[in-house]
Amino acid sequence: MKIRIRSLAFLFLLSLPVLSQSDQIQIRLVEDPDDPHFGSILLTGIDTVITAKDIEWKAAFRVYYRAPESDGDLPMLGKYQVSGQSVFYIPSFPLVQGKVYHIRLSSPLPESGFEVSVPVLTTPETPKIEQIYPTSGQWPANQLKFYIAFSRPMRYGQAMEHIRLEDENGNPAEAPFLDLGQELWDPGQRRLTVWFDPGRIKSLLIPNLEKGPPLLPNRKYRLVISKDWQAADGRPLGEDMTREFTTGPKDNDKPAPGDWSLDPPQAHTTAPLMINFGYAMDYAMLLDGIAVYDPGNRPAEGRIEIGPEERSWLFYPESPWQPGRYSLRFSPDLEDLAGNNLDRAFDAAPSKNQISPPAFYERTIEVK
Amino acid sequence: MRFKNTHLLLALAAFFCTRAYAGNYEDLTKDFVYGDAGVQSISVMSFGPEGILFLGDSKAGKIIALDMGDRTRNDSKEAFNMNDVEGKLAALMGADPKGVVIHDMAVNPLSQNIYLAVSRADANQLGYWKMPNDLGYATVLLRINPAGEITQVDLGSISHSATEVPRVVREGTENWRKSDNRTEAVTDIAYDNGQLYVAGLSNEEFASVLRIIDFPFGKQAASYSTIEVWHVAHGKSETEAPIRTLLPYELNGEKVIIATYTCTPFVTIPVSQLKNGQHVKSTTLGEFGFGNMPIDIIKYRNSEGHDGILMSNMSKAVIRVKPEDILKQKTPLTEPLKDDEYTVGVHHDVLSIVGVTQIDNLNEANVLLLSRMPNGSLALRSYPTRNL
Repeated sequence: MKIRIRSLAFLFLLSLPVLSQSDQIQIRLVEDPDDPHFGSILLTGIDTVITAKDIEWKAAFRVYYRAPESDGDLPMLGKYQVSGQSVFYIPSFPLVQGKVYHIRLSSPLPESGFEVSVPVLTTPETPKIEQIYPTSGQWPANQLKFYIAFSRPMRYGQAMEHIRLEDENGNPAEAPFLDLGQELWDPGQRRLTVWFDPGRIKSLLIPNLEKGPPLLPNRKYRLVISKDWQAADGRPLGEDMTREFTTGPKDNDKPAPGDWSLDPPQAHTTAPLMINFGYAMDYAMLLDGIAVYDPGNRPAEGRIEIGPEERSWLFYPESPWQPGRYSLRFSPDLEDLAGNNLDRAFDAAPSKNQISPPAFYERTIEVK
Repeated sequence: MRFKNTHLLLALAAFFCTRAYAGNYEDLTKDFVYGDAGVQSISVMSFGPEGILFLGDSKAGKIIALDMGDRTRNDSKEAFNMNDVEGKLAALMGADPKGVVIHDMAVNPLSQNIYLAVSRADANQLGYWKMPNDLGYATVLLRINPAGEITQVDLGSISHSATEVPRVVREGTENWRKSDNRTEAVTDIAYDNGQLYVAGLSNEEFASVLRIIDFPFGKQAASYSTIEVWHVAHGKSETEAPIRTLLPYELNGEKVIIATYTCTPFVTIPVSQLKNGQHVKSTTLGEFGFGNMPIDIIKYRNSEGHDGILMSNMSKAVIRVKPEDILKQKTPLTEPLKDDEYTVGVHHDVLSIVGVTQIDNLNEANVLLLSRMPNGSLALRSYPTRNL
């Protein structure tokens, strides 16, 4: 086998003089996290006569998870990007830290093999809690859930042992949170949703009757997040974080889009459109629960900002407002802090009525 | 035009071949846009016409229609077989063979290309009650062509159209299998004559729903019916358990949805009863054995022209049901299972085809099975319909 490869390489050397530069070929991993090609494998030192050609790179520059033993072994999926004398292999699935990958080059490159080992990253940055939503200092007594936003991806499966709720005397509350087998992370593993036990919030359910609600009205509480909670790479938060809040009365009212104040922007500007709810809304639902449609009934493109204490929502359009009627569409899933959504209050008695509510709620504004 | 003559001919041929389907294709895809399809989870998938693949995305609460650009007709009756599918996917995805999980399979009826929804998850966690979607969300779509070449479909740059599935169950509540209910927002999807039938869980009091969504997706919200099933093995009516797999079917001239549930009622629902906002009681015609989750259901026609229905299962061999046997079951089942009973109702055959999770029609002569082989490896293998 080895002899065959060498003889093939020799033939290529004879027939294609450009390959006399093969000793300049180098392969390395792009390790700098700030590099846009971070995590890809870079092949350099190829003659531009070759890179200018339309080459099937997935055949000429193959990356294997396991050292290939036969021609039938499949290389990993990825995209190839050619730039000057360089070719980037951008893996479809992130490379694994601490693992060695096997690279094989073949025609029109010289037949050769390389290994690339992926170091275990030790970033100097410790993970931090960026925010806890709701950001307001007062939560309704029937607060349904909260979100913890981290600066870095966190390790899965540690949440419940690192979040503690204390009353004003520092006594820990008994099992206030819903402990699911599955933790509710966003895809980037940076935002965790923590639910208060809904069975204890909803009136007349057995957990509610037996243990009472997780939060009582008009009290002071403290959420404590333990310093030992680890990021995905094992580095812990390092410092306890506490967040104090007081509870108000229970909130059993559905949010009513008709009551929200809308501030129509002026035509031909890119000034933001602001919706003022008058009370705090659930943070995550605001991120994708409201859409703006232009006078031609097309979704308007733009950037969303959520106002202080999640009491308002701003939309910065990509292109200036046109005169005419814009429509705002609200998902029925938009909810306030107590989980009351646009269709029904969280604690409402089950409806016997099987008529479907609308797919979305709508308000319109005149832009002049 | 700088084509050489042969190129010109080929281009013209390709142009006319495409034109042969063009009318319907252009109508179906006129609202499609090119770009990131925004797929968060390929929970289930099923082909429609013209190489359009429908994804049921439980996490996003959407149905996403993808134009696979895969409309070259292939009328071959050849079998397709591939050994050690897990080993091949692992090599492609940079993982150990036990580090990849296949969530669903669909064959494009036009081209016979096979599509797999895959995730990098720990396959050791799978169990009789732990399905792939319980472990995590699949976000990878792979295509296997009849030559056995595997490529990845770029879901970030693809012509697509999507619609919200109204009122999907919210995340944060757990089912009896210790999985988040949201993973069952969409449990199966089937296209039939301009409409998508979408089963799953809603946030309603009666959680099990069957939605009908027009395709191409319009502004009209989906029609939406809550579904009740008489569960023979459980001895009660249930509204919370989702339909696991469904099949639009014509029985004696009447359009029905054939559906199956965990533990394993076999039911029909007349499409005429599926009116928006209605609560519908399905007709239980068979009980195929408790302790089992059905996975897939398809219809086939064998070389003698006989129609049949095949079901793959988590804990049973492949089941065959003949339409004439469904019609013979004149009265619905309404009584609980008696102590000495195991299966009742519609006559069905439990075939000598074991270890099959995914099943689809491959071509006129074969069905395709994703099958755990006696040697422990996972294989794609064809089963001739003439033997059915």
